[in-house]
Amino acid sequence: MRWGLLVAACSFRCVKRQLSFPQQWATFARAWYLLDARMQPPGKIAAVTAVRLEGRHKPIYHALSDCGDHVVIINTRHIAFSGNKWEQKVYSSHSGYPGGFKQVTATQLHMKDPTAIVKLTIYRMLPKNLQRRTMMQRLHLFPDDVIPEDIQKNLVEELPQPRAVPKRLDEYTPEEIAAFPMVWTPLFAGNRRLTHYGQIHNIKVDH
Amino acid sequence: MAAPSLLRGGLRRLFAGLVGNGRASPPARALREVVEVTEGNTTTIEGRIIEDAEVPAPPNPSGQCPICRWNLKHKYDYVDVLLLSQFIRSDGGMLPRKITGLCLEEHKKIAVCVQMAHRAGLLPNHRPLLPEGHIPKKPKLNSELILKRGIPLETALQFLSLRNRVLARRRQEAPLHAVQAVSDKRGQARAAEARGPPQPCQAPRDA
Repeated sequence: MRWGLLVAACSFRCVKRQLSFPQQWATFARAWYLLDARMQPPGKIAAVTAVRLEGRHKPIYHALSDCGDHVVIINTRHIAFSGNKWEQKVYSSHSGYPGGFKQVTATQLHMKDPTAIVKLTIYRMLPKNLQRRTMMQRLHLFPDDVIPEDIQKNLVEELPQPRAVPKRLDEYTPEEIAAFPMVWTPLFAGNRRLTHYGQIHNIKVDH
Repeated sequence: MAAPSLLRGGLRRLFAGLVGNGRASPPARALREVVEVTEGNTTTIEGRIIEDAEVPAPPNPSGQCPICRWNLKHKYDYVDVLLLSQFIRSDGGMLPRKITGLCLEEHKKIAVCVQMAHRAGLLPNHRPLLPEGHIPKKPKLNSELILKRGIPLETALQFLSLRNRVLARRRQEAPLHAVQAVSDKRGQARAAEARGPPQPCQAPRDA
């Protein structure tokens, strides 16, 4: 849906126009978006997803219009927390019965259910109203990049990843590695003497 | 292994002459790799000279360390793995400053960036040697960015010796963060006293 064109067409000086049936149908249609969560922090994924689920990315947004879209998130198993959060972040729950307070680390929760972290993050970012459950029903999470056929047919657009994933050393081609110059050479260490290092016996000059 | 002991023996012989000569500069000898060739009854062990590739001239030859010479003083980050990999050993540790020729502040910055790159999983082939049959207890999860103050437990455990590994594991049961924060501060204070006042890299300031 080209929201920019719609906004430009309805300028404030023109007469109030009623949308034609196909135009109305196209404006209020529900779209399906795909998002790859590989090497992404779950918070940033949730921020982008919550906006789409609510419908806040549309100029025709209203809380009562039920204009949210579907979002399909793949590779939730491969999300990346920054810092020590895998060990430090604690997810708490209470079953309602005495002695039913449970606290698990992010690692333990992720091992048990690879989609739980992303699901909880998005649930807590949505507005705390009755529409939240409906929006969560329009969220589809998959731990790997295997998607059912019927959902795959509905997908319209892939959203860009919120975090730029850095390139690993083994992902560089040999040409790129050769093109990068060696910044220092082993012997001429600033005209200084090389002292004896008996322990280093497998010193390798890496490119 | 024959090869590393031969290399060590060669280095010792090279520097034994130096100690006697006093102030004389070391003779310029190239790095050699030890090659063992068996032809029938004859085994030939020779040190073949490694030909260094043609290195382009650095833009600022009057710099004291490689970073200044190539005008990279504030220009690199933990994602620049091609640069960082030139200063690390094959098991991921930093090369000594006296060999690489880096000034102290740049060496520390590179060390921090290397640690962050390890934590982000950008150097997958520079892992420390673990004994065979070692089963990692922790599940492999994606992580990102770690700042200098909070050294992650897994990185510390990998690079410490066995004794310190045992001590670190014992510390894991006790409240970890308070103890680590205090010991980090003490270690930093002791290191600061030993270092003396910081000597900046004497390089012309670039615009």
